Amino acid sequence: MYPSPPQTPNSQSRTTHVRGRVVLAIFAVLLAVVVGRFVQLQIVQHAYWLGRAQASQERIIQLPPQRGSILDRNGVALAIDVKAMAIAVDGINLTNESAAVTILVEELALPRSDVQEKVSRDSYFTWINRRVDFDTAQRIRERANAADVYGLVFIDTWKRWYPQGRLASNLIGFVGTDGAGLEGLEMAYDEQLQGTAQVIRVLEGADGRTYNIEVVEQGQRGKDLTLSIEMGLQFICEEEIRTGVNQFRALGGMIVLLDPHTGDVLAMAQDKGYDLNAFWDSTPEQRRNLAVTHLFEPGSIFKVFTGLAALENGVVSPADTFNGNDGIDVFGHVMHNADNESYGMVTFAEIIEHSINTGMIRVAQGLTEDQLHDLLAGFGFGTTTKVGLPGEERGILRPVADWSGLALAAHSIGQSVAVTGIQLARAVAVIASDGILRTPRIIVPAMDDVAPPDGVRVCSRDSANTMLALMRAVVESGTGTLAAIDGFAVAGKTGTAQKAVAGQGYVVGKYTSLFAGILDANSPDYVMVVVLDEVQSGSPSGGYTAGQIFRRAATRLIAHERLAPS
Amino acid sequence: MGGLVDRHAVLVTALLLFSGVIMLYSASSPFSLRHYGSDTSMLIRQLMAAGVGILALVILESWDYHNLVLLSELLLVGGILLTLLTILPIGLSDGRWLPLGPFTFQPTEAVKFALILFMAHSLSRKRDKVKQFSQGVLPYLILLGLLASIIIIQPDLGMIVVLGAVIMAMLFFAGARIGHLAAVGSAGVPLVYLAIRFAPYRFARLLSFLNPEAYSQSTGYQTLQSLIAVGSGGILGRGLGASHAKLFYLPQSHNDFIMSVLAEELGLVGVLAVVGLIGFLVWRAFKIADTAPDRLGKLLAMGIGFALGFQTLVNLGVVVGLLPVTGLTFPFFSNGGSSLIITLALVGILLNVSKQGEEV
Repeated sequence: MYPSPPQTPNSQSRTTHVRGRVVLAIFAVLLAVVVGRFVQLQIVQHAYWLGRAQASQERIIQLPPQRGSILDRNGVALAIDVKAMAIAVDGINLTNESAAVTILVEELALPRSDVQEKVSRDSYFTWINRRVDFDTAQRIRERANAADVYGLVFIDTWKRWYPQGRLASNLIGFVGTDGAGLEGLEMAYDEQLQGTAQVIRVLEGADGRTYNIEVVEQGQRGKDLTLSIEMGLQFICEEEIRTGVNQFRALGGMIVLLDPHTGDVLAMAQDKGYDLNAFWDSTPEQRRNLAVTHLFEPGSIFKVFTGLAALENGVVSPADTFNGNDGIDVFGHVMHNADNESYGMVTFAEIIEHSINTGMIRVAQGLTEDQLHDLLAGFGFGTTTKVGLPGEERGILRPVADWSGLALAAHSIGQSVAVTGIQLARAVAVIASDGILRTPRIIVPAMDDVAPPDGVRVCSRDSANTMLALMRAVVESGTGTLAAIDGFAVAGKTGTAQKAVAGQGYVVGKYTSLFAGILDANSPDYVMVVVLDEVQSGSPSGGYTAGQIFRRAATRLIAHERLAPS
Repeated sequence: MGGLVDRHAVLVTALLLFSGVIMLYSASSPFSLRHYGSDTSMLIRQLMAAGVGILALVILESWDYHNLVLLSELLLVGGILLTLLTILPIGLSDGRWLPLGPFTFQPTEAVKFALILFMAHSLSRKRDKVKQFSQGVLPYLILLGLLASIIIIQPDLGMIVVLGAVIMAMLFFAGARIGHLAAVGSAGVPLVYLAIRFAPYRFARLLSFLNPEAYSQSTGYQTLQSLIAVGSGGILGRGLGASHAKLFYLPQSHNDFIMSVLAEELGLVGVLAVVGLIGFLVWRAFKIADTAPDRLGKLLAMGIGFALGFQTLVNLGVVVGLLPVTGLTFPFFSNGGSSLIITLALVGILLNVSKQGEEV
């Protein structure tokens, strides 16, 4: 131990002690100021600073839910969501910007100027592409890592894929980049298909890396949509209508195939269509669903319904005879048979079988205007079918008050009315289902709801069956013989309707060619309506053109459904 | 002589060391992972430093301070020479640190340590001469001028401020005339002005702390990020390890701004606890001074207490945006072996003084 230095005077020791306490007091005051500042920041201004922190460090992201699938009636996928990546850029923390731009431009085939602008934005989050397929995104991620590019944001998402390409494209429609259905069933059932988004909070470091992901809200997958469509039948009908349109050089054509007992739409085919996986390349004309939007005069097919009105109102029986010669004067206007042919005295059955206009007009003259109008309205003409497809037209069936003197005659042979393909199929299905009108349905309800819809009786079973037999004769020996199929009692009705053009009336050489068939008279399980618009080669006769298309499509249907000859 | 070490100071030091190391691990792990490939690599270095520091503490706790101060001139000269090495253009150092095997060493921390010993030793012998300007104050001012002119080249303005404050405070404790100190203080103002004036970044820093929002993209960035970290912590904090600021938003988050991370993770409660512990240790230092057996012991304890308290307050002032960014570490918590070892060594001396004093 070294000797202690001599005792310092007391006064000096005292000064030191006091000065120490002074410094301690100053420390205490300063500490109070600092603690006060902590209190201010952490309590008083806490919400503000937390907001600042969230704004720069966290992102709330809505992850699009997996959209429900669209399936055919057997569960075959028509539209499904597949895993994809949404890619965004954090322009503030992005490193190696030029490499990032090059990678994105090369992998996503985007214009360089566009990408450059996006990555240069003074923003923590800018979408680059929200639907990048998984493999491409993986490649971008690897290249970015290799090039020390940090600040690209990869988010799991879904991409709509249509495994069948253009099949039923007119029906299915598509989904836009924001995940909303824009056309067809994708649009009509958007709410059901969509599901709810998963909301996540992403914690990102200033180095551009993601450090934590927290699920704020569990999303829910969209519900599946099962269609009444049978993919195989849809395929057959599409192929046959395309072949037919080409063969007869028509402007367009469609086939509607219904199950008359349920109203299920088994196929809704048309010649025009587009690749759903490249919908952006399509035209409005290709996207249009003809079966619900294309209006046409039904022509002679309507004799079936006039005939039913006559049967229902007891003004005719199949053996009753009428004058079938050409030329009938209706209020000073002479109406003709096809090719001005005269048939002499013909039975009601023969009028249907050979589609004799003058005879049919005479049958109709036994009806009141109300009787004819009410039956047509009852069969659903002039109202939408409520099949549930967007843009459905309701057609034209004027109220009796607006009918001219000619109207009864004109309506009886399918003039001055306009119908859609789906309407016509629904009405023909009444004949195949003993007089019951059913709302056609494109969506099959859930499994616990399998009972077929009740439908509404719109004519008697007898009348329906009588007409079915008459339609059988049309194919056996009348205007529809080209639609006949060996071993099956096909029933049908042809129609060759001159097209009316606004302001010009009926135009020579422009026809709608029609065939409505029932397969078959003994077991009426399928109703198929074939419509051709403006056949340009050879005869526009519905029996010749649409009838042949029917035969080919129905023949393949029989094979596909393995139907036994009746 | 009571012969018993101040148990309160030992306990508080242990608590500070323990919580400091844990906090360092939390604050440094993202940086560590990114730059060294392992989230514990900086923790391990800090633990090694803590080991050396504890060893220093234990040695100094039992090394009679009367003997120790005999080395103070030697230590001071050695420290100054080492500091000189950092500024010589011989490629040995890139600023403040000297390589020491796989580690680095900050010689100004050693200067700080030696300065406290030297001042206490020197002043305790001056007695009343301390009241004369020429003998009592001027020599220390010359020393400060020497230190400052070396360290300003590093540059480490924060350390100059600490050393200057230690010198002034110890002169004050030793009984220097307040008039002299005031005169020196007012003379220092133009010097500080010049220091700032000729290094525009300092001026920018000074302005930016006054209005961090306006400089948020440049010099105010650190302050603003610190305020965001502190403010977003709230009362209870985000939870240990859950800081967002340390994910590279807040530069130096494991270092000068480690208290911002602590404030964010442990909230006001955590801040009060740590500040309370250090405050208690500072207070204990002054209590130990009261009971110290002699003037040397008193001045040593008060110098140590002052250095701890001053550095703590300046660091916190920066963290909450009340002071410009100075680059001062927070005792026990900030990353940096030199700082931690010196802090523990100073506590060791404090304990030795307490052991030789009356029972507190």
